Amino acid sequence: MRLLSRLWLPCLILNVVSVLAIFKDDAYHTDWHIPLIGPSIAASTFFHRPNAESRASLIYTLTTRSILAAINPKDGELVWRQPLAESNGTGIACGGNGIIVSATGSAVASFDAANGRLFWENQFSSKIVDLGVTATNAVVVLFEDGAVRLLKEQTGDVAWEWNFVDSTDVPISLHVAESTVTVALSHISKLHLTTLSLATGREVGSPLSVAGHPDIPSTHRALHGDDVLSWTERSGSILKFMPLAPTPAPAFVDIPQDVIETTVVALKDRIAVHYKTGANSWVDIFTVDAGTAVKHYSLQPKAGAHSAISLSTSGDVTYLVWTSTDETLLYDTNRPEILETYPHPQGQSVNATLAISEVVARLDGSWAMRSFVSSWALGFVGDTHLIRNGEIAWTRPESLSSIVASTWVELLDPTTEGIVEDLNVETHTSIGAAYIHRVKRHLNELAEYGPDWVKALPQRIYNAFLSVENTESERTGKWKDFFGFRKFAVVVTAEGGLAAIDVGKNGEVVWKASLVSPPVKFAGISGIYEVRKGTVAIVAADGEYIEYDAFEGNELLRAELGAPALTSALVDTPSETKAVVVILDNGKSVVLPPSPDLGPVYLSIKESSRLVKGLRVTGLSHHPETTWTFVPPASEEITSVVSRPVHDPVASIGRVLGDRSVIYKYLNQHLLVITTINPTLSTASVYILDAVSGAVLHSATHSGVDTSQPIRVGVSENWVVYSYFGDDDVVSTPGGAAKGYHLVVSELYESEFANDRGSLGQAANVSSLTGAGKPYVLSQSYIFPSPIEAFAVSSTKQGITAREILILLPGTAGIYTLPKRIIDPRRPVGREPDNAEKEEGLFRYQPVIEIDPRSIITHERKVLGLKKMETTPAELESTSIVFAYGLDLFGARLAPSMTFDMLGKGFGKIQLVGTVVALAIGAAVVAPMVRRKQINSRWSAM
Amino acid sequence: MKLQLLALSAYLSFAAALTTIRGSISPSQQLPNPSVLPADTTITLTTSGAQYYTRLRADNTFVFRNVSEGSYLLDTACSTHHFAPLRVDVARDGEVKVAQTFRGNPWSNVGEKKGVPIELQPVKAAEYYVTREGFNPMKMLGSPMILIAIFSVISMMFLPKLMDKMDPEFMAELEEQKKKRAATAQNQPNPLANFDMASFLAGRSKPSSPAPPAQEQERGGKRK
Repeated sequence: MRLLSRLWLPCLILNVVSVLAIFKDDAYHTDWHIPLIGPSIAASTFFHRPNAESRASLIYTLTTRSILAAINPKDGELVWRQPLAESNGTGIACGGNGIIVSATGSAVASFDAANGRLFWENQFSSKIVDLGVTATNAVVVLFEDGAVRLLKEQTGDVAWEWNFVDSTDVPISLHVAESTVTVALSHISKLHLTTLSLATGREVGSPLSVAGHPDIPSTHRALHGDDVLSWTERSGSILKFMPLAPTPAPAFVDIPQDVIETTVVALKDRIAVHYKTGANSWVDIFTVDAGTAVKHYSLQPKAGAHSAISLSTSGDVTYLVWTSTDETLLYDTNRPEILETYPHPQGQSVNATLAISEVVARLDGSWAMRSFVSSWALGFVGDTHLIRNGEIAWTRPESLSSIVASTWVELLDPTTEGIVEDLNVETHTSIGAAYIHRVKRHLNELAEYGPDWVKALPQRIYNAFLSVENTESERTGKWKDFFGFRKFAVVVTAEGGLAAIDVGKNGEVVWKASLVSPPVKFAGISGIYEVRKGTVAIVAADGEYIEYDAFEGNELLRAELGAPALTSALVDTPSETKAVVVILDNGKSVVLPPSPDLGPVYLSIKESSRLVKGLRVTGLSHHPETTWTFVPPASEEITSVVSRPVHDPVASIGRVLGDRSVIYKYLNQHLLVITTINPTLSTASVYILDAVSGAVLHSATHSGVDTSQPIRVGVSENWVVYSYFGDDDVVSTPGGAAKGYHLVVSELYESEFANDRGSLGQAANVSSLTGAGKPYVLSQSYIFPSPIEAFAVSSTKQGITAREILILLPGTAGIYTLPKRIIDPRRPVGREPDNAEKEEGLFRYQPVIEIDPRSIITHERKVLGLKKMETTPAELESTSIVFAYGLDLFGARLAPSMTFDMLGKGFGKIQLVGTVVALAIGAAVVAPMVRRKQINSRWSAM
Repeated sequence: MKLQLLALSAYLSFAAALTTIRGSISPSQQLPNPSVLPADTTITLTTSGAQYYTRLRADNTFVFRNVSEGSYLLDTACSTHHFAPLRVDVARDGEVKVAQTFRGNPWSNVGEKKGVPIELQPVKAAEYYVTREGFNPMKMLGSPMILIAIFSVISMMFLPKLMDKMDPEFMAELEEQKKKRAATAQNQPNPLANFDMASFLAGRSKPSSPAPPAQEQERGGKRK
């Protein structure tokens, strides 16, 4: 009982305090989520039946983001997905009888193919080269160090292990047969085959040498099963392959000079070789007869740089499916004639890079064909599609899993955009003229829009009562909805793609464009900004400045800056426009668009893990001056540099205490937070700086910190939150510290005392340059039950609404919202709050923050792999819009103080009208009665 | 000899330094069937500089392989149920001790001992949603204000009828009293009619000018 009470006490307090909760009828309406898995790995993508009884197969794929997933081919929904250990975009997945086995890095895991639950996993010290699944679901694994291990089907424990003698041997591949496994390895630059017994792990027969000087690694793509071995020789100019038979005889083909990619696909007794040059591609079909491969026929080259082939067998026939950009061709591998051509729908071309297919012959002589295709486009790599008989049944936007940066774009207001000129006239004439102009304009508008408005009124009233969502939020395109819930997020992918995502409309992609042209690889991004209404500017890391129309996706401007960009920032110019300041690698700075009137702006830049520099840039000079440098104490490394959000309005400059006195917040737009770690002493330090003067305003050092885990920071208004993993073991703390994730909050005030501004006195303006004084800092530390991936702070138009801290939880894959007032460093410690403190809304300090599931804005959704959250205000003060990316995409509305400025769904319009009507009827009935009674009583009283 | 022993023990300790820790989630009152837990339920062992994580298996067990010596915090990340943290101590010789722990308590404070292999039980199911309180007539009837209103309405309707059934003598007396009261009420000015809002707000208790009461009396007369 005591246990329960101890556990739930913090929760109860949270329940009392927490105001934000997800309403059941809001969930899935005001938020959206696109679950993604990333680009598929060709050799680890296959159709497979989830269990022996099942008739329909699922698509299983392992992606370069190390996610193993099962996709339903009917609608493209994920049946399940499991994140695996990261392994630089490589990995192997194989299907067994009701299981899927995966290997990433040095870990092997076996999953239930139907629901994705883990059967077993095992971790080794060496990397995995290849694996195979036996008929009994045991797994044979070939390791980089040359070991071959058989893992038991039930537990994943090692059943036997085989090591080959020579350490110079290079393992290549593994081929599982009925009772044996054949290991291909390069031994003294010869290709050797060793056959092992599956039962014992002993060698069967002597090693066989099949070829000399194979290329390591091979330069072709092998997408075949265990029956074929393929390799290249002479730096990729000869491709050899052979069926694994008792007397192997390799077949070979010469690869022409201009071929950039060859793929070998094998199924049953057919082998297909696909050649790609930059301009066209063709296919050779081989037939395996008694252990030797014989060329059957060649298919004529098709123009186009992109195509993919796949083999599928149904009955006795093996089909070849050749997916090119505009059409899918179906062949019977017995004959070189086309069986069927499926042209892709107009405007839906697919640049296939990999394809897997299923073909079934129908009774009427036609075929049912479906292909799962991964496509390539400039800047967008890995989108997957299902092509069913030439129709694109569904598309998954996997290329958006690699978003690295984003910016918000404000949409246009249809009520002011059309009359910009009229408004300008009104602002620039005298008051009288402007008044007359406005009255005239309103009369015109009344004549123009009035009749339509009146006509639409019954429909509007009808909708207001009976439809769930306000119809005014239905505006599309670049026009803002009434409440401003729709905004575009313009995002940049790691491959150099640029896309606009409509965050208010379930993450719909509005347009796509590419920042790069083919031969050049995208160098990365330094910054993306909304520079003007409807214009975004991108500063690429290689020193290019590009402007795009945010609504249409047209390139407006492209300028070379002359050197790679180190850092960039968006600044306000005196003429009320915005400019991008870029600091270049060559020590110069550029201001775009050129604004000579730009006064000095101060930027800070992390030069190395031991140095942060402050720079001063003006619109005229091209040489930034270094104003200050920050070097942490010896053996500390700088891990992150964080500043306040650009849009961070503060509604109140002070905090009113219970006794009506005020403590003033230390508000500094140039707050800069630097975190450092010291791995030798296991400490972490946090420095709060003034980014203009470089003065250290506050610093704190925590001992017993796990420096291998990241320290996350969030900054807003006059406070800083950060988290780290604290451990008593490393440095014994007197009294004993708690082990777990610590969440520290520090608030900055001008003075310790109420109604006192400390050194600032009566100053109305404060300058960092003349000394803004040192803040008085209050801190409190909490234990948080989960690791933290990132912080963000809710952002509203005026900053009146209470702030909420968004915390990305990687463990349960959710976003938790923590009201700032819960982690208030003024909470009384070790005593109950007195009346004044209660009035202030403070409650007793509890060291633990329990996660209340009702404050998880992602509720039952699993948002996997998110890296960053961006917030922006809506038109309504109460609401903040959230967009999160990294792997999945997630968008939601956030109302930290509830939607006080909007009638919610809980407001019963029909009830209200009903009550008013009932009251009116009641009053009409009762009024004569009361009047009569009053008169009667007066008469009787006389 | 001694050296050899030392070497041997060092070897043994090294060999045993990596331990396998097993555990399971067994059916409980909160969770009668643990197989309903999501496939991505993960269990982590964390201490400074080392972190092991594993997923819940299909048979509702979990295994940490090759865990090195240390004092770990065991956390369960599950989207449908909430689990309490545990403390797992792995000794140099590979011995595993499990104890209940409370977040925020000093780590030196070892909690109640638990058995090995570890058994996890959920504390509570996670509830993500709040249902919006709609219009509920029964709930409205239950509120005290509405009950008072209903009671007064009923008494207003039934009191006159009760009166009719009363003793005629008592009735007459009541009438008399009523008349008297009415008469005094006629003579006394209505206190509300005499209310001076401005002076009330100004904080003055009595109206400064004596004239208004007379006027009010006149008006009161007219109303007859």
